[in-house]
Amino acid sequence: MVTDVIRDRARVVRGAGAAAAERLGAVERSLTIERPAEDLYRQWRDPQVMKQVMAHLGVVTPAGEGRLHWLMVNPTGQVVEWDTQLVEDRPGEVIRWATANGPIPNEGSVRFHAAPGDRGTVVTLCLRFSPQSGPIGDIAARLGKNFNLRNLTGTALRRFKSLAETGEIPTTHRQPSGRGAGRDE
Amino acid sequence: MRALCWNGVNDLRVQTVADPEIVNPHDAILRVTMSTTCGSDLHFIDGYLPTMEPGDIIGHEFMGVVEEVGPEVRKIKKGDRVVVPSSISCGACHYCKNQLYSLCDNTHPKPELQEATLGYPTAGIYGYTHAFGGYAGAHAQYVRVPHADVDCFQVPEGLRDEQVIFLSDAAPTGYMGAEFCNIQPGDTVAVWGCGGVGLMAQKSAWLLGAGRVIGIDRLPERLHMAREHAGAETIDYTEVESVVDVLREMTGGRGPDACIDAVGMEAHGTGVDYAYDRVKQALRLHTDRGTALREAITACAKGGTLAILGVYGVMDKFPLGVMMNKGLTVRAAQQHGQRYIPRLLEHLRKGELDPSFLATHRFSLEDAPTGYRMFKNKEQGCVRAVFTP
Ligand SMILES: NC(=O)c1ccc[n+]([C@@H]2O[C@H](COP(=O)([O-])OP(=O)(O)OC[C@H]3O[C@@H](n4cnc5c(N)ncnc54)[C@H](O)[C@@H]3O)[C@@H](O)[C@H]2O)c1
Ligand SMILES: [Zn+2]
Ligand SMILES: [Zn+2]
Repeated sequence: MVTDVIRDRARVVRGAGAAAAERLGAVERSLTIERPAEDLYRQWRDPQVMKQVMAHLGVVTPAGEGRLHWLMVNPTGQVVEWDTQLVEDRPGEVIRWATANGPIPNEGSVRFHAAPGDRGTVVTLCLRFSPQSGPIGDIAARLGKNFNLRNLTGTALRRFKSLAETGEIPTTHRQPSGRGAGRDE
Repeated sequence: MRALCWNGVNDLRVQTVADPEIVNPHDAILRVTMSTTCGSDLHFIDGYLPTMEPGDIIGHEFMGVVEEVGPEVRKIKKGDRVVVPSSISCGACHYCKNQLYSLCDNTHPKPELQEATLGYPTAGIYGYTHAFGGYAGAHAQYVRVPHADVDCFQVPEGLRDEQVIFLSDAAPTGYMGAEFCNIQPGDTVAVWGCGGVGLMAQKSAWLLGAGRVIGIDRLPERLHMAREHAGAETIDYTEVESVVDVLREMTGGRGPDACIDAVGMEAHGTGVDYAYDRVKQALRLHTDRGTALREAITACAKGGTLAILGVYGVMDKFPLGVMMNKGLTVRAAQQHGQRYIPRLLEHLRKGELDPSFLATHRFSLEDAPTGYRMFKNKEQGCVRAVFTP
């Protein structure tokens, strides 16, 4: 598992800026959050929290026991949908999920461990859009050529952190501007 | 509502835009009663700071009356008269808890824009580039203030808007610069720049125990203000052969114990070129005109302190070796307003620091483009233009 991640990560690094297919694979990023691991674990298991945290990626909705339904609209307007199933669940330590059905082989995990001193918890998020099953070009095309797993992973962590620490995610959504109808999307 | 929008280099226009709304639970909407210009705005008005987009509402130094609050706002309520620091802070993260408010971890909506250059995102700032969050600014009739309980400071009765407005940005910036200097009795503090920030740094240096304060600029009316309002001795850098030599002589060959840069990237006003690649989300800042900063590093006493308040990009030919060999302590930051406003309100109440003299020119919001032109060109002794919607 660990070697997989390292191998995949190496591929991501090598492929940076190259073809969309190369940007698939696995990315692992960490962020320190000023909350106890148990709280963060509980929040991650809450589908309402997931919905907000993953909103930059798509719409995530609960789909029965341990299942989440993912819906993404890629830049060409094509809708991509898949379900993930909880495959590992150790309270306060790790949550892992994998595609149960759908065209996108997606798996991920989130791990929690204590940060030094009183700095809270280091949260490590690993997201994988694995090209191992399914035609790779097809997956790349479905997700869109701007699909950047590194940024998406980082953003998910940042959103989760802000929600956990402050109860909201920073946004400029719907603010006034001198563009268009006088308001941003 | 009406708001001042940036539409390109040196192209500011007052436009009709939508009113702001409560979006997040800790938001408040303020009816702005006064806002003001800042030297930081000039850097993007002149096109040296990238990541502005046409239509951005600018302005980060403001005060007003609370019009509406979100469901999670507890302390602040409708009708409160408040002043708000320029950077947006959550009050809950590691940085806010350590009073490093402008480094807040939870108020940047586009953190990846800053990760590329700074490594980590900072707090968002109102009306001050997308690299700093792209928040709508406050030269407008209304503004949305996130984390209202943390970022709105109640104004005590009996104080006029002109007295309070600069507690939003210029005064806490100057005060922070003086605090960075860790002033010991008898210390000499030299301040490059006698704009709003420099003048506030000079006044604050006295409050924090300086033995001597020296202000450096070239504009006669600002040097006059430094003497009259900030009790500083002054140097007109265009009148002397070498500012470093003059300072050395003034300090018995030792140099100022602390030097504060309140000038920034446009010292001498010539070009900084930049490239902005929005698609790649890469922020690239090139050469600054760092005359004042380099001078401060050379002039500073051995073992002294350099406080950088001026805004810079990524400077070429930075005299790192000079700094290192002289054992200087360098401190810098975007201002941590939330740390200083309570203290500054206390100084204001006691009559120890009244920044209202900075408000040399007053305009309606409709005339803000004229106000900015005068502020930028330093016309008619303009130090700060204040706007009332
Ligand atoms: N750190 C912060 O949070 C913060 C907050 C506000 C402003 N700033 C920055 O502080 C700087 C000053 O702001 P301001 O509002 O006072 O601007 P300002 O434009 O009103 O004043 C700058 C002054 O510097 C003088 N100057 C130019 N070249 C000089 C030189 N070589 N030596 C000495 N003086 C010189 C100018 O004549 C002018 O009076 C700007 O860079 C601004 O971006 C930083
Ligand atoms: Zn400012
Ligand atoms: Zn914070």
